[in-house]
Amino acid sequence: MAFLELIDVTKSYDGKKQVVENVSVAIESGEFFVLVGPSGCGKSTLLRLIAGLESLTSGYILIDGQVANDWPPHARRLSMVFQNYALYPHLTVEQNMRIVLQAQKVPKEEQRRRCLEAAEMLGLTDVLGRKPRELSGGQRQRVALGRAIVARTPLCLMDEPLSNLDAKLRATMRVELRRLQRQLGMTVIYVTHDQTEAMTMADRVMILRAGHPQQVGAPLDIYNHPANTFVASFVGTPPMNLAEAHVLEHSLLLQNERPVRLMRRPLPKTERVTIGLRPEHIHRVALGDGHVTASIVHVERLGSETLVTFELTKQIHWTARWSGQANVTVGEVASFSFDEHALHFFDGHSKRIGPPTRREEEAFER
Amino acid sequence: MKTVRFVAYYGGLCICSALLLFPMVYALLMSFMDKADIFAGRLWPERWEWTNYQAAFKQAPLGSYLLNSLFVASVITIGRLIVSSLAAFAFVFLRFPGRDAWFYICIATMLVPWEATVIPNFLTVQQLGWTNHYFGLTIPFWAMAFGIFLLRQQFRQIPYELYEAARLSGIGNFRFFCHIALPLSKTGLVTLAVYSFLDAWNMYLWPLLVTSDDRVRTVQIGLKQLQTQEMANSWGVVMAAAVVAMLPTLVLLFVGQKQLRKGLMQGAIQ
Repeated sequence: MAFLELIDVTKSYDGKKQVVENVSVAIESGEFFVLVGPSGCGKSTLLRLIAGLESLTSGYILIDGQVANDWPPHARRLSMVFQNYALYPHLTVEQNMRIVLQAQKVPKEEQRRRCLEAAEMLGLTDVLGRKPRELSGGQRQRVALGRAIVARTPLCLMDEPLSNLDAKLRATMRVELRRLQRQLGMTVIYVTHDQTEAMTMADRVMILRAGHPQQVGAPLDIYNHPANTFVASFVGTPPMNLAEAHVLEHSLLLQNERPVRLMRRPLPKTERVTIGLRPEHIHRVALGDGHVTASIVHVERLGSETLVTFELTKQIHWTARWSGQANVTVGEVASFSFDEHALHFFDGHSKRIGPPTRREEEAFER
Repeated sequence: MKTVRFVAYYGGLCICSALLLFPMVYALLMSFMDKADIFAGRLWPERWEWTNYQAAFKQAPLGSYLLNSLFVASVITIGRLIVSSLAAFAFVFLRFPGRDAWFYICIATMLVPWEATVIPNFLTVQQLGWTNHYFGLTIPFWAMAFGIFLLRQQFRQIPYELYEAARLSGIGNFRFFCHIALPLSKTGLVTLAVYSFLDAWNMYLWPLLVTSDDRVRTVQIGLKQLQTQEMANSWGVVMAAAVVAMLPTLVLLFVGQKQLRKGLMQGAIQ
């Protein structure tokens, strides 16, 4: 039985526009579940619905198999880490953690023990007597986590907890958070707009757009089999290259102007599709070979890899990712070949069609 | 140009403060003069005398008036803080139908002048049998729209996430109110306390209406009594009593000012 289950969860503030619509998902105990989407997609609202801070318009929330729609927040036995940490500014680090336990009428000795334990786990032992304003951003973040840990609730909700930290600290905290979550066996529902966080931390991801779930699955499954063009372009940096195409006998006509000959006959039966190709599936070949020849408009050298943007058509620029420090210059004309098996096809409603990915082919051959 | 502006600013300020301070300073000086000095229209006492102060306490029960005033002003202040903070808390943190409408109705009572409500208030207090009683002097002043407004603004500074975090961890409304909302709103509470105390201390018309018994009367009435009794001959005594009545408010202002500054600083760092 799932630990937390959402069934057709819908929320509307004004009765007209649905902020969250028909979200159904089951979250297993001990899972690290990430809700990701652009800002305003309803992910924070969904989290607040689970927390009981907002009431449902329709649908059901089941906790441990029981309908929890009308349970007050504290009865749901969960903790929450807020984006701005929500620390009590006039209380010390220790008091900030203990106030949670005082409310639960935990004996004093036990309170102290749990606080010390959490402080040790998070490296806060030296600052237990300090107030939040005397702490760095990273330490405040840890105190917020500490408050969730001492409460020992089986479910922890996190609303963009790392977004106020600098890039370096964020990377460290990602690893640490995941380690803590495994160590404590907590179920975590984590909200972020950052797809990198989603990809690196999650057991499973739900991608939301304008209140509608787009796809739920393991990060790599989503990366390899995006359900639609939105997911395709949202997941991965740089995003998947997309272009409209006419499907012809043995070739594609991209954006009505650039024909691309393919070795294999493209599968889709529809004539007009959107094709997608990840940057790592575009390679450089000798001039005149390959699928397209185009001029390079931008080069980003990151040291371990090089991102090369070329002009597929006047309006559409595609990006290739090559490992190493490629020797290319802006304005140069080069030829590119595509991994045909890695082409993604989407129909007129931008939904995924056809199975032309290698994994699925391999599975089929077996 | 710069000097001209400097002189103009400070000259203007000096003139204004002199105008403002003169009555108070003159009252203080008069309280040390004997009758001859006062009637000669002197600005500075010839000999510094304490006799006016002794006379003031002897001729009227100034001591008990002062204690009454202190008690009444304190009770009004505390009552106002409790009622206003609870009401403001509800208007900020609790969700109930028509919350904002109720708040505006509450604020709208500030538009009704005090004079318009004196008679109905007096009748109510009389019906309740609270005349010549501390109840009648204090309870009608507990609820105050301005206090609710002030503290509502103060509570709104508290991030709502703090309240949500508290709800999630099972910290109830009352615990949140006492342990989190109040400590974080010291500035507003002190401001309201100082304002209320001064307001209550300087009350004149209402205590005059609801009391006729010297045992519960406040110091402002005592002053007026002295003035009428001693008209034309003992201005020094009246001034001495006025200075005594003024002292607690001055002390409160100085102490309160320091507290207020502290509160403001804390707010800035959070």
